Amino acid sequence: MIDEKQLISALKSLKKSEKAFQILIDQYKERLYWHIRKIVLNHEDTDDILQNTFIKIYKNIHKFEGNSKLYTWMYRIATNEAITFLNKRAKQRNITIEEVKNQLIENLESDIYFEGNQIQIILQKAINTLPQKQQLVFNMKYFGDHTYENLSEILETSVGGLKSSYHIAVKKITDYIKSNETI
Amino acid sequence: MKSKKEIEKFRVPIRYFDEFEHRLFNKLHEEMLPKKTGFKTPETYFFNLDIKLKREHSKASTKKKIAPVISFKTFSYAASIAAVAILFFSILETSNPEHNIKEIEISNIENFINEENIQLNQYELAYLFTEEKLNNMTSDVTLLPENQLEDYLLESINDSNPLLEY
Repeated sequence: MIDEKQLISALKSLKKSEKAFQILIDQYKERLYWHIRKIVLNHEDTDDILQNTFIKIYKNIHKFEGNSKLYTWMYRIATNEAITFLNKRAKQRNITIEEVKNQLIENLESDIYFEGNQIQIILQKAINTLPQKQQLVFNMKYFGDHTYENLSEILETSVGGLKSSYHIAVKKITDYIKSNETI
Repeated sequence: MKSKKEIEKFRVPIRYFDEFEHRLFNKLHEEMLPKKTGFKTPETYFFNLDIKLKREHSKASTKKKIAPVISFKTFSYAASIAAVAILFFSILETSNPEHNIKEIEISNIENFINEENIQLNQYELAYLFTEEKLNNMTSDVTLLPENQLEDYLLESINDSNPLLEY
């Protein structure tokens, strides 16, 4: 695995940027994909957002000052792109972002790229009842398996705040599932 | 069996036992949740993604800069002069107090009436229409389909009596 400083330097260099960009895509495409997918739920939208994310990264790498880790910066761009996408769709349809997510969840049952069962759909509905940031915390900690320290850098929130937010999220989701489980 | 002295050497964090149950239940709740999201990707998606991104990347890097015909400075001077001219003529326009009712757009009049800024009852309105105008109106009106008309009436009418008469 290439050293991060070397990678950043190569990305900013005219001669090496193409090769460096390829390495970047190789290292991060799956992690960023799944991160975005948990926010927007369907594959096609995720694909669009992921590509836009990498293009944005490529176009703005010269502005990256190295105050945070590269992956932190990339995750932030990916998160912002995904949330902007949802906000845009909500505005176009004149509904709330929660309603956009509800529509996306309703579509999961007929989505060929969803192999979950009813409990996983209920889980998504439960996650959707949480405030936006708490949804991110939950998804990234529970499914993404980030440490609180990593999350703290990405979401610019204290570790204590994140722990509290996560535990509240788990409790709310569990209560929701218990009260909505039909199986 | 450990002696009392040996047990006393060990310490636990403050409030450990008080908070133990709460932490345990948090962990248990987490264990009960589904482990997977159920999401999957098309086959070879990540392989093809590299090709797609490479294409986008070469588009972005081969984009040539186009030199503007008119420089930004010249354009901004011209825009400022145009803005001043428009402002000047609009002041001249508004200083003329005489307005013709024909200048007021029909949509503005409609909005004024719809927002109940004019309190006209049906008899006053009827008085304003001549028979000729009324006859011409009926031929212009596009009739709504019955189901749309029914929906409109159900949503718009507060008094249900007219509907009950039929």
